[in-house]
Amino acid sequence: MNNKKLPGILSDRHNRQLLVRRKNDVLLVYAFLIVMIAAALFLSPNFVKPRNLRNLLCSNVGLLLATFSQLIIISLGGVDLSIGSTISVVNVTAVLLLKENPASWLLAFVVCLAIGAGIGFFNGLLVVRGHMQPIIATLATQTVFAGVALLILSMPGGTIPSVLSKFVTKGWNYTVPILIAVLFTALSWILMNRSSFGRSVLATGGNEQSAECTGINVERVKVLAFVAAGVLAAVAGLYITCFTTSGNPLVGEQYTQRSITTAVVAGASLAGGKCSVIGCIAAVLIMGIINNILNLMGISAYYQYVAQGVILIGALALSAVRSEK
Amino acid sequence: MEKISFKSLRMQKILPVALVYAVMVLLALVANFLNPGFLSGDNIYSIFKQIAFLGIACIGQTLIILTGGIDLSLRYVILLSNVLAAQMINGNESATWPTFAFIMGVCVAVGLVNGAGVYFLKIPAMIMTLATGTALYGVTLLYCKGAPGGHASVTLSSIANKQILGSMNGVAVVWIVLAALTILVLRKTTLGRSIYAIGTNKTSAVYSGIHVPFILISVYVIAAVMAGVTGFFFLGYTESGYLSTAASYNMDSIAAVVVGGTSIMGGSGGYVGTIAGVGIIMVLSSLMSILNMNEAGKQIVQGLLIIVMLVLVYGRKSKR
Repeated sequence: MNNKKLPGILSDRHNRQLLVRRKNDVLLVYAFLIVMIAAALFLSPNFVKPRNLRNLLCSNVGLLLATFSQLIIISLGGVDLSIGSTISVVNVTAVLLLKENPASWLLAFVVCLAIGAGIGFFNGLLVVRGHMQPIIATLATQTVFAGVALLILSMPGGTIPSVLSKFVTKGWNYTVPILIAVLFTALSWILMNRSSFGRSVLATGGNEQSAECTGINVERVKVLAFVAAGVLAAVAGLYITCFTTSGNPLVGEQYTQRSITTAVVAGASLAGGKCSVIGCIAAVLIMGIINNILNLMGISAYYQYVAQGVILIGALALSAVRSEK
Repeated sequence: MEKISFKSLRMQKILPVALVYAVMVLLALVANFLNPGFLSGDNIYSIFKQIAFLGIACIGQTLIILTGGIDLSLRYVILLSNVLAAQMINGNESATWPTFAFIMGVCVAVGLVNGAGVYFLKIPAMIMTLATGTALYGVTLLYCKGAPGGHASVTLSSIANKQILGSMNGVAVVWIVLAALTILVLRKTTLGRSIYAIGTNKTSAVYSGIHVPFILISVYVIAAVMAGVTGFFFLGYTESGYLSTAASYNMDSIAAVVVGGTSIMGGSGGYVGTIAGVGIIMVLSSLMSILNMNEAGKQIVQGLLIIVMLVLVYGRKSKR
């Protein structure tokens, strides 16, 4: 299908090689995923039980959404350290606004998405107008918004309507979370691969000056990228709220590091200009399976942190070795 | 061509640092105005006790930021050191210094890993230290099984609590010695000059014959060791290991260094400014306590303070 759609690109030998190399990255991640699944099957008989698999899929949709958000900024050549705080702010706001009355749901969703967009816009403004690297700007805003989350809700507590949380995380015999994952994967794929916005983001991340020379409004692209990332982070925050069913001003903290890890494992380059939306699914599942096996085997959950750190360094080392070739 | 006078160059360097010290004094006066007794001997002593810990931790952060990186593993190294010390010493007097040696060994290893990742694998410093920090947090939790126990030995608590020189405790003396050493190294030694050179321009540092891998890895080792020292002495202050130990130290140290006038892009600034930065962060924190501001407000103010400093620094650079 791709061949018919993109004759221009495939006729160019260099581009074809690039395409193959990019697919290679994705293949590598999926090969790793298959190894992980095989290991999981071998290590625990409970792994294949429908209940466990369902849990594995549903509990990681939030991370997948957060990864797509992070992916946009990494494609831009930056890293978003404020994603965790955004998720926390959205979580506490949602808990505050979601009431039994379904009319309040719409309001809550709109407000949360607006918060995500607002935080993204603020980040983008700092990067563009303040001439900062994204990683530094978001390091600073991360503290501010973590404070805002604590300001809204100082202690874990509150709850959201169970009708809503059950529908989002278990609805239609567990097809709703899968549908959400598929929908946002498709959206992100189209956004990054088939829209002029996504191409501009990748071009800017690859080489800002040449992107500018080809007529891309780099500043506008950067701000829009942060807004899009903020909205996606807000969606992730809403899903995570539905999954945890309660408010916690620190709930997002772990997602900053985890989203960077999954995006990099999926084959994104921290230097920018390269990303794989499809690879993200495999990367999220790999991270999910690691936690899942640790749980099933009754191994201390604390190994999760060690595993996450080691995998992030390993994936970065691998990409460093590969890019040197 | 304009003639550059050394005198004006020197003024250009001294002025921002003097400004930071002025702000610190001003803040302290404001605090004293709002809460008379803020500048009393007792209170200064209690603030000084906390400043010393952050001050030691900031030595590493200053060096790393000077090379153009940022250390996000700092708080986890402090935590690991603190928890290790608490459980290994557990009140046993004779175990104090062997434990210290062991912790230093662990910290050197952490620094080597951080430095190697940053130099050889070319991983951005923040991401590398974020990864090692997470891994170290896991190691800490595994070591103490999620609930740190143990307590400090008498020696250690007297170092942190007993006044030895006037109104200073042992930790403050350690800090002053280490601070003087840091300033001396940065100003007068090849290592110091090389750190500035790498932060200004890594490529030209390589071409001017600086052994970049050695310097960079040394910086990360020093940083981890300083964090380890902080965590070790912190035990004397907290008496037992806690998982919340030094939770705010990543942002506190970055804020102190940046407020102290060290450029986040590396290559300019120094530890003299950082000392005032540490003072400002600590006075600000107690000022906010006086004003009954909660943790949330403190975080927001601190974040905004960093943003303002960043806008000032980056805004100035981009105008050139």
